[in-house]
Amino acid sequence: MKFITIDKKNWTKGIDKSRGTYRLFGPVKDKNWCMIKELDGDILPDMEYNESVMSAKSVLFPQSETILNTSLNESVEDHHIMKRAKNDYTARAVLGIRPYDAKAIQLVKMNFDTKEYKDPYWCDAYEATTFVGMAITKPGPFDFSTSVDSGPFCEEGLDILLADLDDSFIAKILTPKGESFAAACGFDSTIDDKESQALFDILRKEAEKNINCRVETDKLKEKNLLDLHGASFWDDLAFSCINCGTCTYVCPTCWCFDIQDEAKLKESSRFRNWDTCMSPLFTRHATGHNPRGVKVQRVRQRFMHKLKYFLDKYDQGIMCVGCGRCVKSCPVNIDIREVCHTMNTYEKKD
Amino acid sequence: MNNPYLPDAYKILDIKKETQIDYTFKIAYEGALVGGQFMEISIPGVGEAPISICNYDDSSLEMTIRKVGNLTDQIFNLEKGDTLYMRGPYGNGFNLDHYRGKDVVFIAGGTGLAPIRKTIDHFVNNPDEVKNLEVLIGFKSPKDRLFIDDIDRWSEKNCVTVTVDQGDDSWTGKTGLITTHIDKLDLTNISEKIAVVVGPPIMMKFMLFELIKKGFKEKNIWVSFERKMSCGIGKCGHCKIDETYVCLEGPVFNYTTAKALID
Repeated sequence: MKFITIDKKNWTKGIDKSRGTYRLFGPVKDKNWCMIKELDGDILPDMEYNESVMSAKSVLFPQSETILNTSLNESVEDHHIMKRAKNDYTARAVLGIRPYDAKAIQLVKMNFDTKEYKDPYWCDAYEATTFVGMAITKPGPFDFSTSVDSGPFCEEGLDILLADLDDSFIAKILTPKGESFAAACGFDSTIDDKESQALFDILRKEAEKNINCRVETDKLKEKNLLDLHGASFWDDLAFSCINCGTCTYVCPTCWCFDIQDEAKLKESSRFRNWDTCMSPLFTRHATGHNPRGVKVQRVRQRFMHKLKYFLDKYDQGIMCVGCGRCVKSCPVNIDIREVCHTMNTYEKKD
Repeated sequence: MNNPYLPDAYKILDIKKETQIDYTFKIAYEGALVGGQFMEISIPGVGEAPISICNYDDSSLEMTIRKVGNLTDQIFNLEKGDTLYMRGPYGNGFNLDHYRGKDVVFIAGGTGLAPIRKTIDHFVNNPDEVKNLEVLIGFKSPKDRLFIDDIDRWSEKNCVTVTVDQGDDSWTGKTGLITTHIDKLDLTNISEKIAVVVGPPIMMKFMLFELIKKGFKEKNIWVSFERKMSCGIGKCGHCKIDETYVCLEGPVFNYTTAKALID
């Protein structure tokens, strides 16, 4: 671990220099909001953005990703034999990823990088990616990241953490991957570790003070799963839900997908698309039977998965990093912070 | 890195019509299998679906497929000698050691007979491995019956009860819902008796209720879950019940675990 300083006058030049080695991704203004996109050509990341509509999960897990290809032309050798799609896994860097989004990627990793099966697409993309985080100095009104083991200066999952000092960035280089990226940019002005860390601590405390929302999760673990499952509050909660799935798409920790085939003329692809547990189709069998056919079951599934099942199984906190995107995006104002409070304080009535 | 999503090509050796909408496909396959596991089968350009293995030997496996959608429509157009694409096997399957030396009843409803067929066949052929063997099978109607030749062969051992929900003019066998036939089982040592239950969710629900009511111990009941599965390798989230991927940790569960897996 070391600290370097980056004069903002050298920032553009530095990241342009890295383009020879890295595909760059970062926040880009798109009409009225900000999206995480590939920084094609000379597009620069908007490092002063407040929050992006979508998280950076799509850098490793695109909304639609071709996984296999084949030819259906029977005159072609190996027709119908599916082969891995030639996706680009050259080195890439995500600039300005928010600390809670980087932590979310570590939670998603628990699904894609397992002992039994490694998902080659996600794992190869992960290996290829350097995460250059931008500490949050002005948290948004929906941010509750400090309640869930994350926070505006959380380093988990990051290779570099940047803090904005108006005219310069201080960069905390956290991993060898981060060191390589800094070197590729030509950023090498090291500064005193102790002083820099002290400054980081001051900035972190200032930022954390600006997070007004606190969500308690301390009693979730001890709650009886079946009691919570059978609680009556799910009906009230689900009443307004329209099962649009927005919460799952904007969520940095949601990873569900569906596999589909598509054929165009004689070329066929198998690809995967983000899917949502809010949709009745998500669990519907070919026979028509649906084990989660009722709306309340799907709403309960989403919150129980994030706030109880995951916690019980892994004992590594809840499956939420407190970014607040689902709260902000929900068209009917369902608020995970309120649901978490309801679950955390639930007492079964005899 | 090994790519678990890649299917391989396999030859169809034979196709047997079981019912109007259920065909059994025999496919050339060499590899270790366990009854109750499943394969992800596909036709490039059409799609992929999980199908249970209903039988296997050293050089082939069999899968009974119901014609219910786009992919299975296309599979029903295939002929002997054509190619099918598969990856797997997936899931835990039925562990025979859980049933060896025990008084066992296998209970299957409709297509639920397919995943358990190989396991039943094993114990019918090796009766010395169990203390007592009974098989209770229910179908909707006589024309929905699967594996008729197998059932006839098993019946020679006097261990099989077949019932249909509703008979027809030609049906001389038993009728009535499968749950109404529990009393005809040998229930003398019920606290030690093992039940293995596979079938449509509604049948499973009522059958499990009845078995517990009759005195079966929860730890002596095994079930196989039917879920929509997409990836088969514990990634896509479709078959997940709480934090349990049915495709990885199941589809066969002891009831003490299964009872807590609720939607």
